[in-house]
Amino acid sequence: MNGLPTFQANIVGVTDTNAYYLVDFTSSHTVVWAKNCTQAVGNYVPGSCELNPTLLSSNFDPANNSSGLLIQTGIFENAKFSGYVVSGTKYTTEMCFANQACKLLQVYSGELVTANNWRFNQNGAYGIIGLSPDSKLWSGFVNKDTNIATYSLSLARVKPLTSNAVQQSSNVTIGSANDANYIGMSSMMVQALSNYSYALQNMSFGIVYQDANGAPSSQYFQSIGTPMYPVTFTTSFMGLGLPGDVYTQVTSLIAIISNNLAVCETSLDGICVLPDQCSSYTGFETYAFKFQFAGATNFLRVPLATFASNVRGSGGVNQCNVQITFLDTVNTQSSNIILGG
Amino acid sequence: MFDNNYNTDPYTQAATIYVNEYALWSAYVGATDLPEGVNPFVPPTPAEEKSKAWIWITILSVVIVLLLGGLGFAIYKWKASQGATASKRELAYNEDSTRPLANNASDDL
Repeated sequence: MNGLPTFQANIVGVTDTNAYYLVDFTSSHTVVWAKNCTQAVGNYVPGSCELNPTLLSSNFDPANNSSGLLIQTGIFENAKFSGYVVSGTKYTTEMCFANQACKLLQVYSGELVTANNWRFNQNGAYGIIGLSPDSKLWSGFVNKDTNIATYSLSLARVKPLTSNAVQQSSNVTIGSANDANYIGMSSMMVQALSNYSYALQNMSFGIVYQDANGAPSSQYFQSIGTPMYPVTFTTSFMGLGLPGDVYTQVTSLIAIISNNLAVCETSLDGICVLPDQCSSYTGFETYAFKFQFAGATNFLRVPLATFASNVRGSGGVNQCNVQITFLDTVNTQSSNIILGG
Repeated sequence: MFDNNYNTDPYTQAATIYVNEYALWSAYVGATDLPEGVNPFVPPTPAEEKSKAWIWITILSVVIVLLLGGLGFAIYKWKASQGATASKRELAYNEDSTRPLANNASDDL
């Protein structure tokens, strides 16, 4: 969905048999969008959650309870799921994944959405499955010998930047790691903070120069991570999310290297846009972000091209979106650097 | 790859990060830093502004020289025209006054 992996699941109360859900590895609970869901976000006129700027698939109906497994257990206010701030009713219900593995768990029925900070004007699916380490869903996936639950994310692009690139698909495994191809490869191990975000020692943006053979020969990186926000990994966010002050530092550098062609908005869903298709610009593959996580010897370098994609803009003209998103730190769940799908 | 560890309270999590098998570009995980290269973030504007400043200084100098030249020429022309007018006035005055002077002179005499 818009380049993000989604999961199919059957939840008692959700009438659409083809319902699909985003997964948030930072949220401990699961939310489903209620049939009577209303949104009151910012200056938008309050209305159905299916409208802008939330674009949710409101389908959860407590009356759809022929199995009798759906039981109301309480109410909740201002709970946080992937940048949404939601109020509504709690239910115990049954969730079955595509492999028919079923589990009774508590879901939050989202009936009033008052903030949408991660997915403004983007499809919000039928709900969000919370899979932080505190989520009860993990109880079925913990190795009984080690008391450890493993999952792996291998994310692919929907539209590769170069037309000759082979299209791959994302691979997300729960309860084990699909890591056969990575055995013996260079890696970086980092330990999470108590809130399951990852502390950075340094973050920088720069260029890797290549010699005549295309091998990296030299580099220049400029530190941008001041103040140093921690990193959150999740698949319910598109691209790279940067808190406002870091976003400003990055976009000022992008302005220089693009000769001021990049237009970077500092609004809730602000990203950088170049006026022509991505292949018209050089440097996407040589410029990169460098993440040095606290306590890690190795560092991670991610090319700017990872976040660039061609989209058809107004008037049918191709433009290049650089999916580096502005996060307003006054908003809920917007004070971390987000590495999304 | 992420590991949730339920042996501790609170639970802990660790991540092992690899370069994606399907990575199309120069993603890297490792510890090798490269030698420092040229800073690409030097805005080109100062050099341009410097050259533009010289252009503006030259243009302004030419304009000032032209203005001064024009002013000098105007003063010259004005002076010249003043001299010519004065001569004409003098001539006109003398023409008007010669006859009375002569008459008066003779009257006085």
